Amino acid sequence: MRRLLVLVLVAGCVSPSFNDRDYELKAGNTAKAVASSLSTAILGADAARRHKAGEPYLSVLIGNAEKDALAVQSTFDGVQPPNAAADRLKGTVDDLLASATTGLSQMRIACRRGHLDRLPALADGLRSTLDELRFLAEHFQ
Amino acid sequence: MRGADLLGLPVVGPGGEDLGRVLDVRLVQDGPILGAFAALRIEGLVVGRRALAARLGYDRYDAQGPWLVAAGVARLTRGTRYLPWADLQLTDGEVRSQVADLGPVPKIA
Amino acid sequence: MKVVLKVFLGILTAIGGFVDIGDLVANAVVGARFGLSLAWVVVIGVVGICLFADMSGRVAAVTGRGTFDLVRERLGPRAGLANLVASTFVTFLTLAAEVGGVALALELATSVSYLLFVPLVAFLVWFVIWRMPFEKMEQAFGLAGLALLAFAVALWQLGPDWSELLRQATHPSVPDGEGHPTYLFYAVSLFGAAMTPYEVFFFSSGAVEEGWSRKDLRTERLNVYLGFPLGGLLSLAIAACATLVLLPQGIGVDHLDQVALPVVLSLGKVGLAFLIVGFVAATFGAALETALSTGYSLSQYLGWQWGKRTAPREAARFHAVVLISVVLGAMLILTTLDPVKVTEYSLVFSAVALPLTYLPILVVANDPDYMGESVNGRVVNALASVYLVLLTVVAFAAIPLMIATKAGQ
Repeated sequence: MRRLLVLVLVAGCVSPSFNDRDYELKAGNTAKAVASSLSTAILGADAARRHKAGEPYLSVLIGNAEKDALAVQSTFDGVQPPNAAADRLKGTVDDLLASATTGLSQMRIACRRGHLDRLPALADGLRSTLDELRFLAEHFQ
Repeated sequence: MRGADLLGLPVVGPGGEDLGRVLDVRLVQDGPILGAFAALRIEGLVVGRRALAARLGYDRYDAQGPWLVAAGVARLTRGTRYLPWADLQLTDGEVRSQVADLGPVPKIA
Repeated sequence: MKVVLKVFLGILTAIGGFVDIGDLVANAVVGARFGLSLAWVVVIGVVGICLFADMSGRVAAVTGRGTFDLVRERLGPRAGLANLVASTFVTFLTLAAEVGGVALALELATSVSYLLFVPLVAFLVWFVIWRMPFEKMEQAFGLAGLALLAFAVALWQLGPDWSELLRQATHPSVPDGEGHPTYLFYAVSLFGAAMTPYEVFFFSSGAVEEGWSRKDLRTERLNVYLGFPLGGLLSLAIAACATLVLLPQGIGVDHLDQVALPVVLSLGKVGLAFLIVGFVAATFGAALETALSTGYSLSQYLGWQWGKRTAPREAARFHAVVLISVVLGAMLILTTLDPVKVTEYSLVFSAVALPLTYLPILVVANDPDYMGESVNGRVVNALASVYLVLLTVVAFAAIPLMIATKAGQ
């Protein structure tokens, strides 16, 4: 909830220069890509909850989602924020990415250990992160 | 000399002017009987500059489809002419035409 | 009974050729991003491939010669060579993508990294081409490829609002938040997937291998007009599944596992099992076809003895080309280049090579010296001319669109 508040504050700022706008677009695209990975893993957990998928398939699905999210995270890390306003945006996005990648790796570990029953709970814990990423993606597109 | 060796040779007019190259060799089968078939005789040469368009083979039949391709090829090959065998002389590495104004390429059918 | 068996060539080319890794990826990506608003491209692609496959099959049946044999004879060695290089490059890229696709499908079944399967898959492709009779190959992969019908079953199980799907498909529009160039870029990819050039080489060379004559033309028509539309419907089912399940969640498709996700959610483990069989059959079948196609086109161009039916000793160079292209394709995938990305690029380059493949076929099919009475009719030629314009536009637009949209990002 605190993060959402920061988000609203950040989103309220007007971007004065091309650099800022560019950074916001990159943040938005980053959020969109990671939201896609999270949604994929959450649908996978849904399949696990309903006993519709086994360990090999879910391992691949969640493992790929995690790999993609990590790749997007490291790309975003390499982008230089142009000013203090962008720093605040970066902080928010970084938090969300960290919670997404941590959650995804927990899901991957549980899955590879055969604890498919734990996936739904782990996925539920990621839903708020997903909502915030979607909000961000929507706002900075 | 083989018929295929003619392909690509430069063609010049009576005054030495450049007319293009040999694009195709037209044959008729009216020679003496050799085995089961009559021998082939070179009737004339197709001369021009757009070798690729001429190779699509739209110079032999009327109304060969599709119209779009035929029209495109006709436009690209409008400079293509026919040199009857009787009107040419083979010299070293080139074909010399004895007439300056060559006729259009006749259709086969 | 014999006729029924012959129709299998059509169904193999339809399922293992029409639906291959390119269609699986392109249709799922497009469905997840644009819904069914690009369905019209699939329809145009199916009509086009029917038209030109029919033509090339007729040329093969009447002349008894392969497409590239005639292309070289018509265009001459130099222009023929440019054509050969372009088509072979595209076919090779497709082969690499298919080998990667088989490996990815096996990964879904086992969770063992796909890279470990690549050498095995490459070996099996070569082995099947070397040892398995043509007809058996067709039947095996044709039948197994039908397992992809799981997409159609899943679609039905998902219980969509059919009228809404139909409305999307019949009222194409660019969705909010997407630019026109991106929409057109994906249209080009889908078109490239539907009209992949190797299908025509394979189809006509297969007809020569099976020794078709004028009498077989009716079977040939049945193959084309039954097989390809079936493949097209399956493509649309893949797109519709992605539209229903992935699009609302904002999921962009980057992996084969995501292509399967709608089927898993609606049909569960049984559905996935069918799907994996279908993935493997379709991509493996297409790997065979593309590998053979590189051998066919190169051998036909160079005038070598060619054919799967010919004993390997007599067609040594043909078999060597097939082997080398399989090995190189496997090596390309082993560089860890993402097979899905390789697929996406192969579709764009296919689109560029389209006129190079289809113009010569159109010309030969109209040449009375080759075809006699069996030249194209007026209706076929009118349609083919429209496609020729379309293919040319697509070919010139493909690369600029790819650059402008950063390959659809």
